[in-house]
Amino acid sequence: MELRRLWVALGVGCILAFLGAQAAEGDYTQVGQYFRAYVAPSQGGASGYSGGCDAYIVNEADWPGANYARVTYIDTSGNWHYTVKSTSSPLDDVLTVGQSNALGRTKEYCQNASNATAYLLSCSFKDYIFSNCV
Amino acid sequence: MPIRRLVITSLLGAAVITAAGVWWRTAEDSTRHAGASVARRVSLRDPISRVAATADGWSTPVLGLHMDARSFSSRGRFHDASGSAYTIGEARRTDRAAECVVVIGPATSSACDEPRLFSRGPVMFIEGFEGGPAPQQRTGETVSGIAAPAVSAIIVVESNGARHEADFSSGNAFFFAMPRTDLEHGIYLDHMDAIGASGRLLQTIPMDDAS
Repeated sequence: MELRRLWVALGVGCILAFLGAQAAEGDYTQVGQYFRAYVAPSQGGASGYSGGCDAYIVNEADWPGANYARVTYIDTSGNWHYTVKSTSSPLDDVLTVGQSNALGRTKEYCQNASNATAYLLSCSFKDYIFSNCV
Repeated sequence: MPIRRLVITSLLGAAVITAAGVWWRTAEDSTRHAGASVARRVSLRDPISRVAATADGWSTPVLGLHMDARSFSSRGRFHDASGSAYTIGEARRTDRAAECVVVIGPATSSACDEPRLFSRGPVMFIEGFEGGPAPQQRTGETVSGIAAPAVSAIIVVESNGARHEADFSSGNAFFFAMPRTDLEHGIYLDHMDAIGASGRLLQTIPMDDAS
């Protein structure tokens, strides 16, 4: 009888632990910097490509402003998508997870888009990560 | 008594093993992603933030990193030739150090001035395009923004000299979409003129858009 209770308790414990772990797990986002350097006009930097289990959803450029900078999402064929450019800093380019997924694997890119001025350019990403993904 | 102790120990063990498994999977995701980066990419500096994986979470409007979405107020709403809607407004950064123009169209973009709107001039704008980057490779291009109260019109001037008055809302938001035929001919945006009351030219804004 005691042994039976032990096995029942163990089973319930494992189920509760599994359910708790599943609840703790879930999709999440990462925020980080992917580029920081002094750049001449037309120069910039890129992140690594997203994998099959994540999607870039925010691309931000931060520079002194007044001159142009632009940010974009580049697919594996080299095509630019949702590019934005401004003289106002910081500049953010935000996609939904669905929009980012529709592009397939992408990398983020930021660039000094001015004609003549070099400046310090810092670029950050936000990445949506699917935790239940193989 | 020994049996009760055994049960408790087993439960704790199961919980620890499962939690370790979850931690390992999460750490594996982060490590794999950082490892795929280019050499110049630096390691993650900000903590990982967990978000609810709900259906709403997929479409919740985010205006950008560190943007206070609750502060958004609309200045005007426009449509391009294909019928896509563009809502243009303003919002603050969460640190309140800057105020930003926000364009909610097919994607969402924002650009900020410190400490207030128009600190650097009477026009805040975002140029957006699809394709490219060379002008003749672009399949769509827009200029959207908001203008200070002194501005009554925005004239967009193309590289072929053609002048177009941007759509202008009562809230001083403006919007202009390049004609597709102009893009196909390699025509690009040359500059914008901000026009004040009685037609006075307030500012010419070069677009630096030839490449």
